[in-house]
Amino acid sequence: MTAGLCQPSLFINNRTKFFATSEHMQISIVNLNKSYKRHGEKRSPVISGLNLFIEKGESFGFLGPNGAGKSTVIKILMNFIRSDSGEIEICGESILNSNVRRYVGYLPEQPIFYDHLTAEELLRYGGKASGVQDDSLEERISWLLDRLNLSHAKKKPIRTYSKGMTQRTGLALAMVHDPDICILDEPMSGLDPMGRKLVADFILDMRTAGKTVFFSSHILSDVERLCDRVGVLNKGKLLFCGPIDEFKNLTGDIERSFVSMIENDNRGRG
Amino acid sequence: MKHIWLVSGITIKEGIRNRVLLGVLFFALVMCAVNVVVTGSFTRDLGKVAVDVGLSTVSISGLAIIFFLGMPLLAKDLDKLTVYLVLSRPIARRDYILGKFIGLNTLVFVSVLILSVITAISVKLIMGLSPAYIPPLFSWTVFAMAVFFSFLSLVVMTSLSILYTCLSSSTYMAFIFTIGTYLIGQNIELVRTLLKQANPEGSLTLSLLSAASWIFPNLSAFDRKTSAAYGLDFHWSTFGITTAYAVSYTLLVLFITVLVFNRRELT
Repeated sequence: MTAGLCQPSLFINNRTKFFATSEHMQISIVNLNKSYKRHGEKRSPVISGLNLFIEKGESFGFLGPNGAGKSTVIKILMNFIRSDSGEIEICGESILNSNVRRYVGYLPEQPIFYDHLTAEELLRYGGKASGVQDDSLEERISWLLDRLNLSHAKKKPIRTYSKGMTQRTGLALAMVHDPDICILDEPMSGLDPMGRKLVADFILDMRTAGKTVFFSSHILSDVERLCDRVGVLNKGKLLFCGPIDEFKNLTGDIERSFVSMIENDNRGRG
Repeated sequence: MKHIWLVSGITIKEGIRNRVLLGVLFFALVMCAVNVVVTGSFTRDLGKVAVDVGLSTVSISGLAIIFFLGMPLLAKDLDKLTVYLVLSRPIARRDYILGKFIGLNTLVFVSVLILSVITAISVKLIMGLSPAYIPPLFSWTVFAMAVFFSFLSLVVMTSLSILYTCLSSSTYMAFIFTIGTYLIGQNIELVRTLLKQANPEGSLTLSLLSAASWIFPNLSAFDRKTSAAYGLDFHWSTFGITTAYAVSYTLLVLFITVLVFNRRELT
C-alpha cells in the first residue's frame, strides 16, 4: 500500500482526543458495540464500547477467554458482520468500502476452502482478486508455497490436505498479495509444534518487514514471543491494552497476569 | 467486472470437478437411450413423444444441476463460511452474487447445450427409424427455440435458488422454497385459467391467484414442447416478450438478492 492512499483521520476516544495519520495508525476501532438477538430474547451485548488503535508496523496480540468476542471484532473488521454502532477504519478508510481489503490479509480461525481447487489455483485466485500483476504473482505463489512447506502438494486438491496444511494454505492465501496489514484469527490453533514454529517464524518475518500484524490467540507463549502490544478482552470489554512487558509485569508472568485479570473481572461482574 | 469473472471462474472450476455434474450428465444420457428404446413401443405420435421426452430430459437435468450442484455450492459457502475466502478480498458482496449467478448459469448452459445435442441425436435417430411418424411441420429451429426457452426458465430458477439460499438460514428450507416455486410457476397459469372458466365473474381465490402470478414466475410460458414436437411456428414477438420477461424477472430477483445479501451477517 502506498502511504498516499491513507488520509489523516480524527479518532475520538471516550477519554482522549487525538489526531493520527496513516503513517502511524492502520486500524482504528472507536466505540464499537455489537449485540446479538437470540431466539426472540432481548439483545445481549457481545462487544461494549470497544476502542482500539493499532499502529503501523505493530504486532498486536488480541487475548481473551473463549467467547470474549475476539472473533466477533475480527469479523466486524472484515465486514462479515455489522456492528450496532461505532466507527471502524483501516488505513483511514471505512471498512464498508470493499477496496480497503486490498491492504488486508485475513486468516480465519478455521479456514475452509473450495474442495476441488488446488493450493496453486487458490493462491492464483487470491492474488488476482487483490490486484496482483500476473508476472509477479507466479513468483510470489511459488515462494509462499515453498516457504510454508506446501510445494509438494501444490497440485493436489485441498480436500486431501491435513489440518496443518490447510492452516498453512490459509496463511499463504492471506499473504499472497503481500498485504500491509495481516489479520489472523487463531493462526496457530490445531497445529503441531513444527507447524506452529513455521507460522510463528512467518509472523516474525512479517513483523521484521514492517507489516502490521493483528492476531488473536490462546497460546500465551506465542503471544509473548511475537507481540509488541496486547489487548485483553473479556465478555466484550477491553480490560487491558498496552505493551507486552507491561502486561507481563503485572504479576511477573504472562499467564498469571492473564488469569488474574480475567478472574478479577469476572468476580467484579458477579 | 473483473471480480465477477473471478468468482464465476472458481464457481465453474468447482462445479466441473464435482461428481454431481457427471452424475446428472450420465442420467441424461441414460434418459436419451431410454427415449430411443421406449418411443419405439408407441404406435402413434412417435415424433411428439420423442421430442417431449428429450426436452423434458433437458429441463429435468438442468433443474437437477441447480438443486444438487448449484444450491449446495452456494449453501456451503454460507454455512461453512467458504465465502470468507472471497469476501476477505476487495470483492463487493454484489460482485460475489453476480459471479455465483454467472458461474452457475455457465454450468447450466454448457450442460443444456450438451444435453440438447444428445437429445437432438436421439430424436433424429427415432425419426430416422420411423420416418412415417415425423410431424410434417417439424423444424429444428423451433426445437432449438424450445431448448433456449428451457434454458431461460433454468436461468430464472437459478436466480430464485440463489435468493432463497441467501434468505434462509437452512439449506433445506431454501431447497423446499425453490421446489415449491418451481411447482407453483409451472401450474399457476393453468389453475388460473381453469378457475376463470369455472367462475367467470371472479372470486377471492382467483384474485389471490392473480396476485400470486405477479410474484411467482410463470414457468409455463417457457414450456414449448408442443410447438417443438409439431413444428408449430411461434411468432417472433412471443419469442421477444418471453425473453424480456425472463431477463427482467431475473434482474429483479438478483437485485433483491443483492439487497438481502448485503444485510446478511456471515457468522
